[in-house]
Amino acid sequence: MSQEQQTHIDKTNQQEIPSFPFPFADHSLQVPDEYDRLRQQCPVARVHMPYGGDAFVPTRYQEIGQAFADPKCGAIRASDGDVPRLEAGKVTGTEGSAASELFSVSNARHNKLRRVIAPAFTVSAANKLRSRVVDVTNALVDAMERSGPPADLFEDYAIQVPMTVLCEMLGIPGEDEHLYRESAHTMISTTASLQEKQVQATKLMQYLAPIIKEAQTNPQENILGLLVRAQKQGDEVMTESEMYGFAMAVIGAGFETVSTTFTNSAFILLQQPEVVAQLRTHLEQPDQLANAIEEILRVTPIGVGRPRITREPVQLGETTVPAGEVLFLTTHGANYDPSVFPDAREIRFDRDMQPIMSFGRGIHACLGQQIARMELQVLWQTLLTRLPNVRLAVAPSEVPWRPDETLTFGPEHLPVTW
Amino acid sequence: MKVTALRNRCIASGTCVLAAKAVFSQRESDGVVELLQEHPSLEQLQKVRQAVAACPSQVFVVEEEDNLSELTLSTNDEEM
Ligand code: HEM
Ligand code: SF4
Repeated sequence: MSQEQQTHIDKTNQQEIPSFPFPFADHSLQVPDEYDRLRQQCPVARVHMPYGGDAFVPTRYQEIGQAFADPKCGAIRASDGDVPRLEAGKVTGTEGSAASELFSVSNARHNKLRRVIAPAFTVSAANKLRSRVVDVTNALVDAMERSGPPADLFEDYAIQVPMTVLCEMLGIPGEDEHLYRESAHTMISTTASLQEKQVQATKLMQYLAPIIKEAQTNPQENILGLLVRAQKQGDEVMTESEMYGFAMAVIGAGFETVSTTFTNSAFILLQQPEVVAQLRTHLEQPDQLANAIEEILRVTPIGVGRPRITREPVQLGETTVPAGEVLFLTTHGANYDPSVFPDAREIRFDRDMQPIMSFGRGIHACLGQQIARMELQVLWQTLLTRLPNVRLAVAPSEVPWRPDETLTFGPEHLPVTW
Repeated sequence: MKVTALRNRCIASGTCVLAAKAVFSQRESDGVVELLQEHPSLEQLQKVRQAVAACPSQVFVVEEEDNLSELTLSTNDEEM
């Protein structure tokens, strides 16, 4: 054992093993100092998880990216049993849970399955949707102006955009939004029991059944159309359960992520008027806007992260993680690593940008990332063009915060005026 | 510099297209990377390097990294 490793262990023995997730301060999205401390002292740390025992948390960009991408660090499966985890029930995204198929297959089949719906998520597909998103955001600002300030930037704006896009991409009716929201909320809940999760998943499946049947007789140019055409080619291409799993995974991953990212980024930026003023000068040039949104994605934490389990021993930097251990991967841990992003806590739109970790790495890296980027670009562009004086309507400490019961966190509502 | 895209590894993330849209595109049928040029001008070098680094699925293999006299791209569709 190297001397450095020995010091790590001595240090962790002396100090108590920290509990994960590392707490954010009240009404704050500032990434906790614990990340900086661990990156220096113990970059692959042992932590207590809320359920099931201890796990490892890497805090440097290098090891977080490596663990996301290493096939030896697989997705957690139902057969792994009572693993160290955040959720009271089963780990979100494991086999047998609603959003299972895409997130948990860790083999060659994964890429084949993913390519079935990938045509709906390409850069050019995202760009084709852009003008529609411009219209939607403008209509939302019209409505906010009609009813006058204050408005709730989450409910009146941020959530509506990805919801509309998702319904159109999938081919599901917008008026049943409440069901998708309720389902996504349960999928990422840390407090719902296994049974509650199953009940909600069954409800969503039963709801989707007639819509998918209709798509089977009359496939459209949307994700359900792509899925039913693939499923018609037989089980080798896609099974019925994979088809349902996909549709549900896209509902689970497709709007909460974007609405939380936008709302959280607005909470951060609207407290820094000089940064908003800079952003206003980056709205016209597509390349500049794209770079600014990368930086906004980098600085915006939205959730506690994603787990992996080591299927073989894995060398992460100085640390050998034995087989069968749970690793917890936070994207903000990597995005705030000052060795990759100097002065990582500062928002700078002129960075010589390294790839951000916000969408993960490896075969499970976000399928919706080009759609998400486009939506966030338009959300910020329309907001600051139409309401250049937008600002928080209450003190940050008065912003209603979400209860600590899902994998994502941040303001529940964001009251703004202009 | 030679860059080979091992396409079986491609997860259709589109990241390479964002980095170097004059060089990379995505197949319409499945979102997998395709090349728009096999011998792009050296002006594209920086962007191609960015695409290689940003690819989340390690699709690109770089050879002769220090040979900057030309830039050659190819694809490889063998099962890995
Ligand atoms: C800013 C918004 C978003 C963020 C930060 C985000 C983040 C992520 C991350 C970190 C992963 C990797 C999870 C892992 O490795 O365990 C992921 C996977 C995924 N995301 Fe996103 N996402 C966003 C938006 C979207 C959107 C808009 C969609 C769909 C419309 C989407 C669909 C998916 C899917 C289907 C996967 C699973 C891919 C696979 O397992 O192959 N995401 N996302
Ligand atoms: S960045 Fe990599 S995984 Fe993404 S489309 Fe390009 S080659 Fe494929």
